[in-house]
Amino acid sequence: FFFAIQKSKMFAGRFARSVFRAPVAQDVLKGALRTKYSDLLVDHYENPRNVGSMDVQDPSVGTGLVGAPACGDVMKLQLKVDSNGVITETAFKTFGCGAAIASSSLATEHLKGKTLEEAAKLTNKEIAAELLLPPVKLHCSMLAEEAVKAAVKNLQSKRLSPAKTEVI
Amino acid sequence: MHALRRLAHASSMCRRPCVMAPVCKMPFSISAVRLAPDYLQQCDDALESIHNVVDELSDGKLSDHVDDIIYDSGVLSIQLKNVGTYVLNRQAPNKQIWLSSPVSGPYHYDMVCSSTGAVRWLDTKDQHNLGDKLRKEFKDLYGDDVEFFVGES
Repeated sequence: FFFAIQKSKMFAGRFARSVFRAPVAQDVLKGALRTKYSDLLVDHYENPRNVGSMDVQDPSVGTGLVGAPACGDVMKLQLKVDSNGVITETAFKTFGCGAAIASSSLATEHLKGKTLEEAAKLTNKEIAAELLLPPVKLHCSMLAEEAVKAAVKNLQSKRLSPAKTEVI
Repeated sequence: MHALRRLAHASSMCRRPCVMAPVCKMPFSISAVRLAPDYLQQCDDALESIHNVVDELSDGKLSDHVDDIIYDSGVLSIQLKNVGTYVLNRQAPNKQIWLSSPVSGPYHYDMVCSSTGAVRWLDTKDQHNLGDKLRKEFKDLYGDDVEFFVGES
């Protein structure tokens, strides 16, 4: 009776994870998969950084929204700058595959501490190289780069707008 | 009775959503009465032609360099020894072909039709031609100048 209960729990929750993370099982899985996501990618997928939303109206927040649901990926990436123009906070929300989520999560991490000019230089190549993206997922890193550029552009246009009160 | 039935049929036809052929990116002249080129057909033709070219190369000049070619369900994957994998796939919602190059990264190509009905695949950012891109990269890699015959240039 006890064994039957354990068996039914086998594929759910922490027990399943511990089974599948056992060294032998993982080697079998590794061999079975043609392309495996890197550990860093899996980490960003399971523990995404900076998930959330900032106020779009905030004058110190830039928002980039790229992609389309029909294509499978939508990314919203936001960054907040301090009075020196340095990015202090970032937030993202992504609808898409693991690689898309990881790419945008990694991007938000990279942006912190950078100025807008430096942020705009973030490339899809860097993201793809760090996450070791498989060929078919390079498009996700490109989308993340576009999201960053869109957010930077949005913030720059806000600052140039005559309605702004603070002087650059 | 017959007239009434026909009328009912006609009005029910009107209520159904009008299924128009997929429209090309560039406007074409009204005098070309035939339907706009069908995306799915054009996409499959393009991928097929690239597949055939690479297949030929793998049998001939590049037999040592091409590890694998897989073409299935609108996805063409070309594994090259010591270089990486080219992936070309159809992206139906945008009516595009997507390319992932191990040399230069990801690109999206729009279907662009001329007034003659000729179809080209042009990059969304700088409008370069898909065929030219592949040709240039293969030339840089292997020295051979190969035409990929993707649409008409």
